[in-house]
Amino acid sequence: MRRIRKFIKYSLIFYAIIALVYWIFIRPVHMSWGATAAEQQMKFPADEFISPDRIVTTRAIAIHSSAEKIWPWIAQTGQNRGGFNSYYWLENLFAASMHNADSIVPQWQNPVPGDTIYYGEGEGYEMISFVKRNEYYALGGWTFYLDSLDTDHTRLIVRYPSMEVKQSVLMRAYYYGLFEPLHFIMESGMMMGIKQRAEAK
Amino acid sequence: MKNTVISNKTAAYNGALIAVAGVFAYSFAVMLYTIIRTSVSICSIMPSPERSKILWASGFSVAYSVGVFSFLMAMVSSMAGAVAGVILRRVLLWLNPDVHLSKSILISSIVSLVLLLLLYLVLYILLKERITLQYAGTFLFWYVFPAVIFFIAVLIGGAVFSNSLMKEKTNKTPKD
Repeated sequence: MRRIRKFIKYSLIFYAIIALVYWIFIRPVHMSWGATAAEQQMKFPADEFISPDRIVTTRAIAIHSSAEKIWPWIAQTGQNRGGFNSYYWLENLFAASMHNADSIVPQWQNPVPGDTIYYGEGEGYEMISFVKRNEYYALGGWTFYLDSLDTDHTRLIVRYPSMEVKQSVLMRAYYYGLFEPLHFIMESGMMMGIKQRAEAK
Repeated sequence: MKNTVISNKTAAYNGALIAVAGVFAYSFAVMLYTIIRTSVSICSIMPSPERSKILWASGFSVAYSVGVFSFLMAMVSSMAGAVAGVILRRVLLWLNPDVHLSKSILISSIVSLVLLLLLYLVLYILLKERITLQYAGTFLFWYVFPAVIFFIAVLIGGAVFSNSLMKEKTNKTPKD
């Protein structure tokens, strides 16, 4: 039993160090991963859905492709469409029934405001709030914005309004302990998934 | 029963400790698997100057969320472990008073299987169609691997308890 007690003790110390590093060094980086100061200040149409009390993340990634080539992958976002281009195997651990399309599907290329987009099978959903072909796509206040630099370089900027700060202790513990880091993993995975697909020849 | 070294309280405490250790052991396996798989994906997409930043951020975010989740699961599992510990102690003392290790292992296995059956029956009543074989990964992750760990933990618990009883028996023999 002494060995088991020792193992638990070191496991707790290990996770305490992880938590400390995460809060001091990692969280400040992932809240605006890849985004410049100007991109964080940019105004998007769906910002009107974001109340001042919400914790907002703005992340960005450089894609060596035109906005026209990136757009089709964003247009078919959704569990009930072409997936989220993220770590589907991780989503499916939670029985999300996620399948990422590896090709552009014509029938999903015309998203319009009011379309219902599912996050997982039988789970939460969101309506498309704003769409402008080759420029932006928003699910509620969650915006995907394509900033076209030239014909071969585009910045994909993603803004996500998550939780209202004024919440119960339990909700805050859930948000800071699980939702926020997991959302970063999935959202950054999604942005890299879009990059990979758009850059593929 | 009252004269044994391991009391109900100690059995519950040891059961809880073994359960918590099982949760942390599983969490390390899950953490490693997730970090390796996400890192392979990141390395194949991101160019080198930006790669290291996202590797660190993603890796620590995985480790942190797994840590938080395993901490919550450890609290729940410690209660299940404590109950299992007390049940195992009572069954072992009842069916194996002479303390034979092979018999202890057999009894521990049966106790473990019965407890798992009860636990999964409760889960089935609570979750019903959400327990699905549709995704092998989901089923393995949430049900099969934890069941294997629980089974091993009960076997360890049974062995620890039998060893203590044997020691007690050996210590008492000269006096008797």
